Amino acid sequence: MSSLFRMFGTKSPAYNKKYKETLFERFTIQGGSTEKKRSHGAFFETNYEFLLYGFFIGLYQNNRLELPVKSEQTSFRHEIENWGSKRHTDLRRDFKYVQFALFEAAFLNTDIDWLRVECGDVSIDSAVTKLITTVEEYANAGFEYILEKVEERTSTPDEMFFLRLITQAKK
Amino acid sequence: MMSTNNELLRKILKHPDLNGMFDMPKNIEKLTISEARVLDDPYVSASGEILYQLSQNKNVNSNSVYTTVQQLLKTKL
Amino acid sequence: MIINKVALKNYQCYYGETEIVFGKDLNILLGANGEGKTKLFEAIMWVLDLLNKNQEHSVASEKAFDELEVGQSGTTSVALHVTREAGDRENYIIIKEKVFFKKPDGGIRYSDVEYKAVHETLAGERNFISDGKSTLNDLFPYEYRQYSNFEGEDALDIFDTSGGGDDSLVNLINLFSNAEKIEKYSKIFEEIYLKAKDAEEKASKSNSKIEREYKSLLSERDSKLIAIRQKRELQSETQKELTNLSKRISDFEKIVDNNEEFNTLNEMIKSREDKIKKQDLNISTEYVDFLFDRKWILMNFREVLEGFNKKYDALEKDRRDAERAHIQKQAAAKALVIASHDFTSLAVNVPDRATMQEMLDEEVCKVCSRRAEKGSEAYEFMKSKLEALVKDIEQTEEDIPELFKFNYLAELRNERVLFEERVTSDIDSTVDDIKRQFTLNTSAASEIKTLQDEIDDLVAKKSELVGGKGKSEDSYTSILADYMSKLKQRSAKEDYLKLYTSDIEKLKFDIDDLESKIERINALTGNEFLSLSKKILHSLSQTFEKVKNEEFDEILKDLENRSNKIFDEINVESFRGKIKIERYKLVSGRYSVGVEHVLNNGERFMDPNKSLKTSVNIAIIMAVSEMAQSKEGESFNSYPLIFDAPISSFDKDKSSQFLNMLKSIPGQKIIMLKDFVSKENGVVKVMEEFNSVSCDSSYLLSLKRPFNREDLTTMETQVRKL
Repeated sequence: MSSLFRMFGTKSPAYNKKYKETLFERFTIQGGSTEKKRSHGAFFETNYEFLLYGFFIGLYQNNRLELPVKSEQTSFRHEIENWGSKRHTDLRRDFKYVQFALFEAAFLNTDIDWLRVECGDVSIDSAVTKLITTVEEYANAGFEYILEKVEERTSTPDEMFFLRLITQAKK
Repeated sequence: MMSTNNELLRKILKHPDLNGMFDMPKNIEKLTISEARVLDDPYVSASGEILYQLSQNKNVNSNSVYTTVQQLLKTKL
Repeated sequence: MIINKVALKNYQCYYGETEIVFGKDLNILLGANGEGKTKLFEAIMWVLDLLNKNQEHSVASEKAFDELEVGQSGTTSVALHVTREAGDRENYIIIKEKVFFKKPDGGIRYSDVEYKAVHETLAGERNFISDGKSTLNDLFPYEYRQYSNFEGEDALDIFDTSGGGDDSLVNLINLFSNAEKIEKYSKIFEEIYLKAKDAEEKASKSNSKIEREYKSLLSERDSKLIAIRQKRELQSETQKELTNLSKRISDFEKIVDNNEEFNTLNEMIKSREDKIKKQDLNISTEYVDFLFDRKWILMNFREVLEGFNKKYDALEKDRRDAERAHIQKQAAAKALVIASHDFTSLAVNVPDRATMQEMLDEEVCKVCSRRAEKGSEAYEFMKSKLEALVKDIEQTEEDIPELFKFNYLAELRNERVLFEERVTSDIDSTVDDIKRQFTLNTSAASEIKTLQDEIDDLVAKKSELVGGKGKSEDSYTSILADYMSKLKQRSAKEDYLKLYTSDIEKLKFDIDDLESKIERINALTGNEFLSLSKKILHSLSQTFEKVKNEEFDEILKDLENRSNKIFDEINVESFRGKIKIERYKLVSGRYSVGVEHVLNNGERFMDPNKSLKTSVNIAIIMAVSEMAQSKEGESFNSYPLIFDAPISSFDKDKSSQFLNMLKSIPGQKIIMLKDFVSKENGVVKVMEEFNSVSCDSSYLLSLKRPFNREDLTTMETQVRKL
């Protein structure tokens, strides 16, 4: 595997703390009983799935939003290189392809002088950090949008809601 | 028909649930409450004492029976 | 107690004084409807103080009142001549009396009721007792009295525990079997054990080492016990409501004559419900999972993919260009070096390294076109110049480092290709995939809707069956609505019941866990004596509980056997099934007694006709009476049983059978019957079949003819001994 992509994979993106309770804990099952959480409207199996979801919303809408200061950030410790790996059960499939999709989108939308990186003038670390920041900023914009839409509703969001939100996300 | 109090005593002591908890008195088939309450074995004497108290007083309350039985057991245990 | 005689004076249609003498066994009073039979029953109830407030009406005989002058008074009374046992010479007379006056306006006024008694001793003395009521209670205690009379056939159904658990049967059994006593003993045994447990816990609590932990365990356990009690209360309330509902629902459904049609509808409903369940499985709405598993999340990714490729390719090109430029730079630098090496400026082309090497090899100087043989000065000159040039060029090359240290971009090539291969076809077909899933879901959903509509139609048909037979439009609609709402309520309550049950299970589990923790601490720190005595008392309490239940079951078995024996005698030669009497535990933990009418294989006897149902009830009542009479060990008084028209649904043969069977059951029975009586041309006659009935005493009650129902003073019942 390329060292750039590998380094990208060792990172775990951060997000704005305020979305922890309002979005993550509400819509992800992680850490709760599946039955109970599903019946309360939690459809995302893991935290990173939800982060991916927020990212793609921001990406497709071409919206990015800077994260607040470090003290307002938090992260779930789950490196990108592990995202999407599932045991091949009847219920879920592997979706590791998202890792490279994330990378491509970040690469496309980050302003880095790659030639200088390859020269060694700019550290590869800082480049990867910039890529991750891009991921975080798209996701951040996505979360803001999601929360707005959730709060607009009078009833608990269902699976259709989440599907529509992303199919309708365009520039 | 309904058992007499002596019969109740025998039914309790002979019940399979209590099997092995104590030595069955030899005269169990004819054992009366008054006889049982002075025997040495705590199970036998406690059963006898409780039934004795119950048969003496129509309006017996559990407190007094409890006290009497505990005192009895103190001497047998 | 035995009723030897009843004497009526001016009681309703019994004008003047009437006396009826009873034997110690079976006594039959015949009378057609409306001729005084029920009034006699009421009179006896009146003196036994068993009428409720709204049944106590004007008791005075109309005819007797009519005969009064203004200001005059008359007396209404009913007197029971009783003895404690048959053949006793010690008599008691219980008298209930009311005086009536004619007011100046012609209206009637009553005095207060008076209860008197007379005690005729063995010595022949007559003692008057002013408090007749307490004599009554002494001779015929209320708890027996209330179960001694049955008015009408339906009143026999006191064992219908489906209507919310009225424990009539339990009460009856308690009456004659002292089951209450043993229940009380059992409570005491348990309380003693609990006290011992409490004492042990108190002792452990005061051990300061584990005080806090222990106390918190105890309080957690206690609060869970309270929670269980609350849930049990909820359960038993809900259970009562449920049994009520079920009864009402089955009342509704009883209206349906044609069970077959009803059952067919039910089957059709069930098969559609099964189909719905299957279709439900075809619907997949895990859209969020599909976003990832089926790559739906890449639906708008084409643009990104192409953008990436473009950028990447551009970068690669830039990189190549940069590298080329770098090489050229290097070449230019090299050229500079070459140029600085003092070659004749005549040359248009400065010889590069290769050319110089060539010149050496060919031993000719191409600059000035002269030969330079190996070893000659010119040759050596060329050679040294070449060596210096090479050295300088190498030096120069060293001074210009590689442009690119890393190959990050190139390393991505593989990944990128693999990724694109993997997702490219999916990205383009995402929209179609989503649409396809929706279509699948929609068609399953619409199939379900169709089935549901069919079910609704069938349920409506069912309700029509239930509500519709010959009812008026109004009552039909309201019956329907009522029935359906009850079905809904019942289902909701059943859900609640399940919930409570599982809550209780969970609580019990938690409590067991806590108790074992508590026990562990007790074992470590506790008082040995308290622990031992608790153990003993616990065993005794549990054992006694079992003994109690075994006792009770024995009684029920006895009752069941006797009931069936009587039941068989009443219904000889007909298909009747048998009676089952069992103890069962209510949700609240208490026990109750259930009566069931079953086939020989144990299944419920469906839809018994009225007379069969009546005979079940009578058999049990008689069996209870029989058991009460046969109690050994205590001097026990038997009490009379009084029935008003208990067997109207029986046909003539069955009635005779029944009455003959009754004779064999101990105890006094007084029965008012409308059977065996016929009215021809206004004349009341006793039918011949009655001759085959044997009893201690029998009477015919009939109105004096002629009479006019509009004029109560003409309604006078006469009693004729048969």
